[in-house]
Amino acid sequence: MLRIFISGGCKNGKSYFAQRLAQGQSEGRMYYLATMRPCDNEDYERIERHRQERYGWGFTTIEQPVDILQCLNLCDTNASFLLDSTTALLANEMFPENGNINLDAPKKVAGDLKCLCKQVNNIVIVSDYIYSDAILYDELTEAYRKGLAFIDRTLASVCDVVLEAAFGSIVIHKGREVFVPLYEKIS
Amino acid sequence: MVLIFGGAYQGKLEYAKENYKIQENEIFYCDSSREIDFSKKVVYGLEKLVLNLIKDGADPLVYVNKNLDKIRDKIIICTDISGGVVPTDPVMRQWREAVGRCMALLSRNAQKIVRIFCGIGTVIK
Repeated sequence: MLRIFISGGCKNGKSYFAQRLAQGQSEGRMYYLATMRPCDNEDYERIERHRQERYGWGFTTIEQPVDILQCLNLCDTNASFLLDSTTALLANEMFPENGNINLDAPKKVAGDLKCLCKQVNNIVIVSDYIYSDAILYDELTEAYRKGLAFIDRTLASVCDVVLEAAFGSIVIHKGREVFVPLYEKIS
Repeated sequence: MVLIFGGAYQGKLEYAKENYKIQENEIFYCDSSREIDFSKKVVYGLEKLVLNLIKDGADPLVYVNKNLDKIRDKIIICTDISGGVVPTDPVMRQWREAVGRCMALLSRNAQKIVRIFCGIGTVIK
């Protein structure tokens, strides 16, 4: 029964590893909390591809691009959850479809996720490490990065286990003792 | 010397404040500076100083090397900007490489190096 936070750069195998972790700590039901909000056909195709990839894993997919706590109305809280990703969730909340910009979104999302972590027993949350490039961004992008980092740090403090995916290897930043039995189980 | 590094917004300064009991008036913020105030205990945002020097046409590595003795007792905090795509802007490209070279020099001279990830510090030297 672990709350696991995993981050890392792109193409590091985070999502696949997170799926294995969620499956490893499942005792029955598994929910995949899908956060992507499709904008065009390319997105629909991507979502369909991801669905195909997950087919056979046993996940029930819940589409929850905003207001993540609403998934609790549909789900059994004793199940194993996988949320992929905080990055999409924040983008959806911060830049809603009506064109407004919600600068309070990081606080809201961090609060929602903290609450979600308290209400469920088994959850794996995936984020993206977007903090080490040599680019000076515009104010809005910088606010988004700062906001996502705030969410990451909040989750790192409330989760039992904090992992970093590093090109196929896993760095355990927090919770080694409780994590090792699960890791051995899925290896 | 203690070197604390990590990506942007990871909680590097927070870590230094908590672990080394740093007061606000002991911190030198590099911001738009071209030189370090050596009277302070903490040098924060070294990557900004590096960028400022590059924009002036100076070599940041020469500056850091020249002042190595003055920063031996300091806590140096620097954002890791070594990830991501190679920037198309030549100044940004120079910046990225210069920060890397300065970090390597500081790493060799630091007694302790801490990497911060989502607020969690790992001592790597």
